Amino acid sequence: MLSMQNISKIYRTELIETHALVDVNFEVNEGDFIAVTGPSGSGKTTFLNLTGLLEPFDKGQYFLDGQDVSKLNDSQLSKIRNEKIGFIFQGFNLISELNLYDNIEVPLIFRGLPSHERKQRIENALEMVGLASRGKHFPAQLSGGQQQRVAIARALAGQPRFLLADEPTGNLDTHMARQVMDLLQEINQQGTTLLMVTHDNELAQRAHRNIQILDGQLTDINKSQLTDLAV
Amino acid sequence: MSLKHILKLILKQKSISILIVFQVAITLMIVSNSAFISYATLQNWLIPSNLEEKQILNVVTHVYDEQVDKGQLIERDLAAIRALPEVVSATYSGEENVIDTRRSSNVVYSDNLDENAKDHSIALFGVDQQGVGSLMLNISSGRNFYANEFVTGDAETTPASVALISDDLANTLFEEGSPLGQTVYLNGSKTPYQVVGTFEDKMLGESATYDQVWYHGMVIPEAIYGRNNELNYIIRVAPNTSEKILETLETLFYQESGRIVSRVEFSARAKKRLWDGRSSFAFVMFAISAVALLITSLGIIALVTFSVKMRHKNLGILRALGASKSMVLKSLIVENSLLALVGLVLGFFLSLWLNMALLQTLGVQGTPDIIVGILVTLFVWLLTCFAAYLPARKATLIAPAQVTKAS
Amino acid sequence: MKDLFQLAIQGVKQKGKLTILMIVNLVIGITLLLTMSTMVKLGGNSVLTNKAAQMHHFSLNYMDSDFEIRNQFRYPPLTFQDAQALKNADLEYKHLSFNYDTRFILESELDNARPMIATASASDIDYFSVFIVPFIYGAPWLDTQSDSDVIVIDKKVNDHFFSGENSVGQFIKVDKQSLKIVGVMDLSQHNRRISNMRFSNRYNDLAIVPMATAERMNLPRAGYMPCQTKEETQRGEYRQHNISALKSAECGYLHTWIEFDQQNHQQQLAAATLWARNYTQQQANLGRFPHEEKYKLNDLQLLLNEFAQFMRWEKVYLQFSYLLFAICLVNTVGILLAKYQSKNKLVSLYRALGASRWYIVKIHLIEISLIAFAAIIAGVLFAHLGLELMFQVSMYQMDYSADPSLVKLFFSMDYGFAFTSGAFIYAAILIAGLYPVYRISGISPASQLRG
Repeated sequence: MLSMQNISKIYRTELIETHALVDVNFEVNEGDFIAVTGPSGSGKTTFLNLTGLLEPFDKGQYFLDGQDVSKLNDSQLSKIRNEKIGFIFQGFNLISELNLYDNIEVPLIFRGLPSHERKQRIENALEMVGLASRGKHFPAQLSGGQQQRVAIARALAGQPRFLLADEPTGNLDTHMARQVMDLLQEINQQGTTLLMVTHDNELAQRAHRNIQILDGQLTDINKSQLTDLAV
Repeated sequence: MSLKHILKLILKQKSISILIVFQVAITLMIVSNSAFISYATLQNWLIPSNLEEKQILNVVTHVYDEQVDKGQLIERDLAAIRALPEVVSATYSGEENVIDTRRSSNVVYSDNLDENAKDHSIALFGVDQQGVGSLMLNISSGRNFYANEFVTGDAETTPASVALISDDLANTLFEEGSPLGQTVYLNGSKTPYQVVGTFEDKMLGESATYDQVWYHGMVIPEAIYGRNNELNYIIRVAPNTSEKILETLETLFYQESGRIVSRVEFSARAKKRLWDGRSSFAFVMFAISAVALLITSLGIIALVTFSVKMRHKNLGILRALGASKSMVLKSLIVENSLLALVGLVLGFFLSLWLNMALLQTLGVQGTPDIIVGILVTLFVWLLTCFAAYLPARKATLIAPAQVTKAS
Repeated sequence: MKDLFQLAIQGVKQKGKLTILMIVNLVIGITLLLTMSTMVKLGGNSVLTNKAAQMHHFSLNYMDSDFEIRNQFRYPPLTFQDAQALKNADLEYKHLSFNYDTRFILESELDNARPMIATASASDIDYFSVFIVPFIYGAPWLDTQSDSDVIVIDKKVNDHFFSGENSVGQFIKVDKQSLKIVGVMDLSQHNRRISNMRFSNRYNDLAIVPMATAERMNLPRAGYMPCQTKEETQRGEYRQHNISALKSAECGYLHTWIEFDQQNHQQQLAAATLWARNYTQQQANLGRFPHEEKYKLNDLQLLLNEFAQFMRWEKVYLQFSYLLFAICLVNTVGILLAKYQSKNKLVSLYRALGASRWYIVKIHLIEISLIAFAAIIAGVLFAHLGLELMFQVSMYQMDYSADPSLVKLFFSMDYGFAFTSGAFIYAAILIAGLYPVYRISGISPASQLRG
């Protein structure tokens, strides 16, 4: 479904060139649950940004559903982000002035879906994350875990090709983190592809496949190697 | 972005929203009134005067030497004036000059018995044989004066008995009926004159224009001097005569001693004086409007810039969720337009208030005109959109990538 | 201190576009405000300001009881009878001057220049002291010449007839009669013609003739000369011809200015007021002075202030200027907030490195001061242009019939006023900046520095 070949990304300032990613090759199949780990500054964030079409890359090719994304303009890229990728962020990134229902609705409005279809999807998504009755509440009224679940609902409502999560449990206490982990795992078991960057050992353990990024290079690793992770 | 979201954003950023609304309102208030006044002034300027402004001259002189025989001086003056090559004709002017009332306003009545009869403001001209020609009047009904109907002399002279009136005055006094043969009564003394003809409308009077009766005019065949020290003339020159004629005439008049020349000018100059006050006010209001528009534009640029900065993160989130650059731009413009709209509505009421206030305190009449109002409102609205466009464009450059940085 | 400056200048340079926006915004508002406020201020100026409080217009109101005094400038001039009474009264004062507004034709003796219509005054020697009239040649006539054929002419007349040379001792014809020139005065700095209570800013006196001489020559009474109703019909006569009848009529034509000593001002004013009361009461018993308000001694300061009320158009412009400047200030707050939004990290770092909150405040206040200073200087410069534009509009409005050098007095930059205004504007900008500065100084150390 997703295929990256020889991807490189270089950050240039006046004096310094930083090679964030060097010759990265990567593939994702439907239904995969992949955890990406690595120390800070290794290029994890860059990898995430590239995968999520949040940043352009300098060299290589990236195919999503068979389409070469490197030649697309901003409008086209935005459309793909909207339709094919579901984002889940460490900081939840909900919009504080909108209630939960409206928050989930945002990407659906971008897509131009008619209002009855939007309503159906939102209600389903809220149901799926266990917050069905709280549509009118505002993010400030929810706990961290609940906010993250809303973010997940937002991602799911769009029926994306894959979910892209950036430290989804990073801002949560152990109890809430576990709830979210359970939810993500369940969603994956129901068929949604899940690609996640994480520091959390336990979460990484639950993934089918583990990838490590070190000094801009990407390698598959065994779960047994996970104990060496920097927290 | 949905309209609902935009409205919520507006309400969330209360201070910025209020500031934009108020600036737009105040600017519309000032600019629209300025436009109304300019329009009114323009309309005044555009009233068809039918006056050959560059061919008819006014001359005002004062005789200060009591020994001078005014009657003979007038004869010598006219002979000298008429001898000039540029001059087509010239007349002594015993009453008003063209758009230059010399003493006081003149009125005419259609009825000399009714105490409460309505008085009609007119421009009055007392002239000699060359008067009708010098004023370049076209007789439209009846006849011109006969040679023997002219009277000339000092203040003791018996008035003339006939008059020519303008078509517009004839209409006002006698409506559909023919004015020919009717009698009109001049000023407080109700001196009677019989109407023998009418002439095509021409803007001739100073005070007549103040009373909005542009074309009320009356000509009497009287060349009477000695009521005061003034010795005035109305001169007709050939088309395209240069300004040098003014100097030539002044020099000519100074060849007679005991007399001082107060004014020699084209009637165009006199006409300009009619609207000086209002024109000046329009000029200054125009400048103030320009300043208001500039300040508000700069203000909107500043406030929208600030607003975008405050929402930096949220805009990044929206981009990540799939909003394209043009979507972000559009929603910012829509947001600003909504605020501008509220401002314009508020400004509408403020404009009406200011319009009344200016009328009361300054007596300035800038009657609101619907079309001008709509055009001005559109212009201000477009300007605010443009002002918001500049920082909005910068907002589209907010990278979606920043959402993945740790919060 | 120097480090503060450096940091402040850094702040100014950073976010250059926003800084420029702020300066342009302020300059526009300041220019408009300075232009209009200078105009209004100049409108109230006068060379007589220093003694305006001690100069009074002496009016004894002989008018009918139902005569409505429309404003402070319509209190009638004295009748001849009352002027004599005042002259003979035993009062203490510095100067007492009578004048009437007249008009005549000036001609050259040698017939080498065109005649000139002159707006002039018939007055006395005290006129020159009361109105602080400077002389470029000669001096006022002597007391002994009060009835002689003498005249004081203005510089403009001197330029026209004598090419600016010293014309003292030469002759000039007034309505055909030769008068000897004893002095040439220069009224170019006198922006208003006050002596006849008109406060006109278009013309000033072109000549002064001694009162007795003017009466002898019957120079016409051209100014405000109200009569009681019973004499109204004669007014035209009294203006031009019948001076002897005028002297016994209930028609006032002599504008009277009394100047008191600065030290004893209050006592002298009180004495004069008392005299006015007693005199008019006594005359009322003889059937005169039917009006309720029988006397009025308005001082010049009050009149100048009153006259400012008449500058309605300029006042309206000024109010718009205040409104737009207020909007400027509000926008300045917005721009500062926008500027500082991006500085959060930097300030947080400074604070972490040891800068106190007050230090941060100082840096930003200096930054704002630099910008304000630049904007005010630019505003003053542009205001010159603004005043020139308003001058042109004014001349256009008067159809170029007024004396431009006189009108210019109302549109010349008053640097003292600009300085004071600049100080107020500077304070206003600083106050506007207080909130943004307060916000940014409140950034806690390292709060912005995570990740």
